[in-house]
Amino acid sequence: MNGILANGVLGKGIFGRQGRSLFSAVFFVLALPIAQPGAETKYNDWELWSSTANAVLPAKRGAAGPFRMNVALGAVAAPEYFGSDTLEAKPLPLLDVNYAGTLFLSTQQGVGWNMWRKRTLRLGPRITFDFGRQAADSPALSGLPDIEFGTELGVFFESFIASWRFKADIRQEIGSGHGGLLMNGEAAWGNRWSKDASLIFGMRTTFMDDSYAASYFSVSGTDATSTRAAYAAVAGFRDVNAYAQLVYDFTQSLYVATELRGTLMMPQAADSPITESDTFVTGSVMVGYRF
Amino acid sequence: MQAKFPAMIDRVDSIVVGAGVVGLAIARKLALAGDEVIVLESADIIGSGTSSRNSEVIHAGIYYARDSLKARFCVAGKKMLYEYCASRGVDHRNCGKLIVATSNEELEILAGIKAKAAANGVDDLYEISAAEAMAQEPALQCTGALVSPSTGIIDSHGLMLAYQGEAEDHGAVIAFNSRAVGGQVLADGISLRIEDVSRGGRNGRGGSEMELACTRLINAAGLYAQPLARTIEGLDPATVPELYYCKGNYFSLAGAQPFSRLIYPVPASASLGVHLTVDLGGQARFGPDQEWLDGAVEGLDGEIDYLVEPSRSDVFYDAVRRYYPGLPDDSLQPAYSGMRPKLQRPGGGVEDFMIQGPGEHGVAGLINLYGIESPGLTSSLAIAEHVGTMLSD
Repeated sequence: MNGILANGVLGKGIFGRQGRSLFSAVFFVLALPIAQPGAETKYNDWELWSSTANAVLPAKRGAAGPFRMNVALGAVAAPEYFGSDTLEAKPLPLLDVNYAGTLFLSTQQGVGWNMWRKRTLRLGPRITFDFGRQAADSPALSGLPDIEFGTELGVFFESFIASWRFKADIRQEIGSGHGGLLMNGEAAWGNRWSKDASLIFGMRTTFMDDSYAASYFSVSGTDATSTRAAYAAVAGFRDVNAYAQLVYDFTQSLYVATELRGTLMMPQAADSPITESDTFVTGSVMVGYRF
Repeated sequence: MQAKFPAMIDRVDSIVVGAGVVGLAIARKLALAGDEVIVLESADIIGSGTSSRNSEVIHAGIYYARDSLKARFCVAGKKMLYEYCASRGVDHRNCGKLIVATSNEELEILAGIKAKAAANGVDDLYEISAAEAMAQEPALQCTGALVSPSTGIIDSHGLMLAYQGEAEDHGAVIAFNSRAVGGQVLADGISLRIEDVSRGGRNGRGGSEMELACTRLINAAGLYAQPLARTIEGLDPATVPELYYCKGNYFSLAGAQPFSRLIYPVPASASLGVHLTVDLGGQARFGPDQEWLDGAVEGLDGEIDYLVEPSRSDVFYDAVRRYYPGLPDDSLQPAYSGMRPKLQRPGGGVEDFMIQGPGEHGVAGLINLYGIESPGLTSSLAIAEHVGTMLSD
């Protein structure tokens, strides 16, 4: 799995060659005016966006003490690797721990410090992780070198303006992983469907540098075969994706969250001979509890 | 099924060394016949050598000497392969090819090729004029052409997976990371010393060793067949032919592929010439050329350099533009390379496959396959049939 903890998504995946139609379906859903801004709600906008590091699944309102915690378990239909056309089901654990709104530890957001934290803004350093890629993950990767687990050091920015959230981050791998630099940008709009349900629609893009591109999408002359020609990927946008998330609160603590995400890979990644499908849709569902 | 190193087994019916396309086809054949089969593969995947570094072409059987093993196995294997692919859902396409002459001298060679093909039983070739060929393929320049309707392309990895799956379904086990490093002829079979290379690096020493005995040993180790045979005590080393390595480099063509069929020039001395093939994904590529290696691969410990030297594209531009003058500058990119295990010495005459059984070397139960280069992929099922027959005699 490539960076599912680090990328802050409820799952990525590929529904094979049906990806294009499903990708279109996501945008169709995005266009539906189904949210009801005026609905009575358990949470206000601020809580919707900012209550935990994850900033999607709000923590329990009025939690006692400096700690807020959010645990969840679910499943994601995700690709064997980024670019695979083979979908596989994987477990999806989530843990968010937030201390006094300042420090956070999150399976999706990494370990970080809200160094600058205003009501509608947070900014700070962060460590994230990239799980790498193993040749054994897929027959399509046979013979390619493994990409080891990586540790990424970076900074993040997140701001909220009414129903809108804007995020950006930059991260440099500093361990023995991909060795590259990633920059992410994201915009999302969220609101209430009902007093128990929140809807979020967003778009995200990722830019990769030469090292990351080489690690994940290049094929060296030595590793090239009849079915996998040599390829030198260079810096460029890796992908653009759009997502819809629905969070339903059974109580102030217990919730279920679902996500549908459509991804379009950009040319440097899409043209790689290891990329089997340059569009894919991912779905996930998880049940969580806020402390 | 990817088996772990077979530590608990000390004797089996049959061992096949090499999980390339030929080794897997033989393993499938033996397993279907009810044999207990272990396939030893030094890599951690199937078909990582010559089998995954070729043109992925189903050859018609045109060029080979009459009654040679290459001619017999290619013609028979082609028919078997098309039927197998159709029945097992292996991706392939019978796209046909043009063999093109680019001078009047080469027109005479075309006539000889047609006659040689007919002698091999390939009787569907027909000549077309330069005007007809260039009308059918507007990017082509030639003085005449032969059409080979039965030539095709295949997903070679898909084929190997199909062989592997059938073999395993019938009880065969593939032992990855298991390198045969020596052997001995016994009174009732052959024993092999096998090194677990997963513990000592891909080509490293230091892995644990074990011995495994078998009644039948099929040496289908491709590039390593001769080095392995020379380690078998009791096998007359004089029966082991010299091995020559000839690297073939491929360059891919940027942009849309310009031809609807495969385009082959008239053959060169040690290969079929720098031809154009198309993979099943529509990517056009040119190759292979000939790069004879002198001592670059040394026995069982050799590390093969598969890097494609970009500067070799100069030769490709010249060769390809003889029949494709519109080839744009800077359109060729290094793609991949493969290594041919040749019995033919540099500058020498074309050699046939060499498949030695007890009749040739005197060791019961031992089959050595030497010089299995092109058309080994096309011939794989026919070679497996032949080996099965040799073992049952």
